[in-house]
Amino acid sequence: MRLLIVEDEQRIVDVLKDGLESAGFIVDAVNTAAAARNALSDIPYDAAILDLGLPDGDGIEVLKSARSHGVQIPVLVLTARDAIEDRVGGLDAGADDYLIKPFAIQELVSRIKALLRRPGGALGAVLEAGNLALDTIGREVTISGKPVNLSRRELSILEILLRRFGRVVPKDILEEKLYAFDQEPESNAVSVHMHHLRRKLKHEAATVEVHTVRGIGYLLNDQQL
Amino acid sequence: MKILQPGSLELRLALRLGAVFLVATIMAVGLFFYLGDRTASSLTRQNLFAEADELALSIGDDRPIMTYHQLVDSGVIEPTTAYVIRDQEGNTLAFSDEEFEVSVRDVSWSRGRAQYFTVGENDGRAQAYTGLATRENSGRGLVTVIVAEPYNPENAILDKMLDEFAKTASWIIPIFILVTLIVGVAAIRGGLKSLLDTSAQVGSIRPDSLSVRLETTGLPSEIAPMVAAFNQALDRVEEGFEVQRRFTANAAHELRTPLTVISAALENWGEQVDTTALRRDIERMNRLVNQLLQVARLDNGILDLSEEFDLNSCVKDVVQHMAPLAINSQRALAFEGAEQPVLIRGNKLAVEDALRNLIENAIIHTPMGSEVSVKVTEDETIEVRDQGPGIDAAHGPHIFERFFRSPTNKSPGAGLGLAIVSEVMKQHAGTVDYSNSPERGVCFYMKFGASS
Repeated sequence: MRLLIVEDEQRIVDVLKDGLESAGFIVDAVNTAAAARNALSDIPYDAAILDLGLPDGDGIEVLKSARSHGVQIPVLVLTARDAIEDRVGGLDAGADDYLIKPFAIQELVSRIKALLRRPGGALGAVLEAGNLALDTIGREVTISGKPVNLSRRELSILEILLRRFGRVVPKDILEEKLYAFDQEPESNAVSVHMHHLRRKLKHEAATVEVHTVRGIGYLLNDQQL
Repeated sequence: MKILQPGSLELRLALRLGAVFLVATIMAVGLFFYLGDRTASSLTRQNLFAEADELALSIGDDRPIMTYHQLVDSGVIEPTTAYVIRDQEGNTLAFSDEEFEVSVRDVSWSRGRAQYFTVGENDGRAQAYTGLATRENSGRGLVTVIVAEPYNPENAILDKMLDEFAKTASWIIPIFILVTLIVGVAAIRGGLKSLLDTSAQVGSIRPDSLSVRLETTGLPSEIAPMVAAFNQALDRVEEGFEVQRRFTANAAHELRTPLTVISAALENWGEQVDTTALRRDIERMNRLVNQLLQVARLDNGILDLSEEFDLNSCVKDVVQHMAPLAINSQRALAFEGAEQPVLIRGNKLAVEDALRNLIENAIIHTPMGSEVSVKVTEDETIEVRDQGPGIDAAHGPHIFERFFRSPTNKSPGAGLGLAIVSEVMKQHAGTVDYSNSPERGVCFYMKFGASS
């Protein structure tokens, strides 16, 4: 799994490399927009991490030109919070995700993994969190290696939560993904499924836990972290 | 046409112009009457005066008063002149003919000045007169002398015309002045238009639109240098702002990079050392850096308030992004939106910053295991409610001051959060307020609709 880091601050490159390499990635780093363009067109990377402020140009431009040359790999953009336009512009220009500086390396690693696990992504079909694993092809969930019996919808909910691990998933997105257009979900259908899912996770001693953000949605995290 | 504003240059000019017109008109009319009077009947009247004088002089204290014929012969009066002379008691001393004496019986000298009169014009008498009653000194003391000439229709017509003119002028002149003033004000307005345009341009200058320069073409030459000087001042101000803005951006970058490096390095240490305390410090430093940058941005006064956005979805986004922070510190975060989108105009980024500060505070002060709820209401208000100890009434007046920290507050923080919220709301023409709940906790309100 080979990643490209485009970042001009050598100290950040060092810690990114440390973190990503210990997570099992092979990492190349460049520090200019020109070098980034060359690297992206020459080498079939699996994903790229792109800082927007580069000495010889804007990261956004690198991203746009890569996308227009058919580079389809997931790209995660690094930006400062006050540069809100960067953030929005980055997503418009074809970034798949963004992180605000300063960010936690673990967060970065899990975001990159999530991007690689997207349909068509380079990473395998098994989503993992804590002692829980979900095989997206075999449609099977295990906790500490022991199979857990989940209904089809509970499993779908768990998959969505795992793909956005540690972040809030709005309830309306869950409803959209769980029900086809012609199926009108009962108003509390999602909460009922969530209730069952929670009970089963707890019963099987999963380290992950589903939290409710009242009025918005749900969040899966690992309390042991 | 707009009403003239009190204190405006327009009004001042209009008032002065009005005064000038008034004085000029009065002078012109006065002069006209004066000259008209003189040329019209003055010849006759001067003669009458002269004759009245002569008549009075002809009266000695002892000798008998001359008869009409004697007077004509001695050249004191014209043969056509009729006269009556009365003493102070009103007894007739002499007259030219009886009929005239009868017809002027009602005419007398009065009110301290000579009286002109016309008799017999319409009452069918044989002879009509126009004459003068005056008081003169004579050998027998003060006497009233009434002298008259046969009525001369030519002079009378002129007199009547003057009369008519005076009547007409009395209502024409005010209208004339009014029309002149209106035209004058319009002319002033036209002349000042370039100045008004310039001041409208100045009015549109805000710290976020400092690149505006005033139009110098078409300005009066008296004002053009001032505008040019103003433009140069703007150049310098813009430069200053630019330096500060660049500093803010650079500071953001410069401060965040080492923070990222430190926190990443700590993570890479892994399990070898307990880094919890250090990580909390970094968290705190990160918050402080963000707050300082927010303060710097607000102090630059560069908030662009032109964006229209839905308060509902803006608040929902912030809650969604902050929920992991709350959950990681064992608190819950809840959102309650309004039924309909709540559209407001303002600076979304600044509102997000402000709200983030309120939520961070609430998460810090609400007890572990309790909930912080964030609510948007239809009247453009955001409420952030915690279940903490509430705010001591003694500190209430100070909590929005920069760097204020309650002495009993043991939680980390620099005392910038509420100052930022307050400043953001001020720039949005809104308010921030709080109320301690009767049971527990405090609720902060960010009200955007405060001005309406």
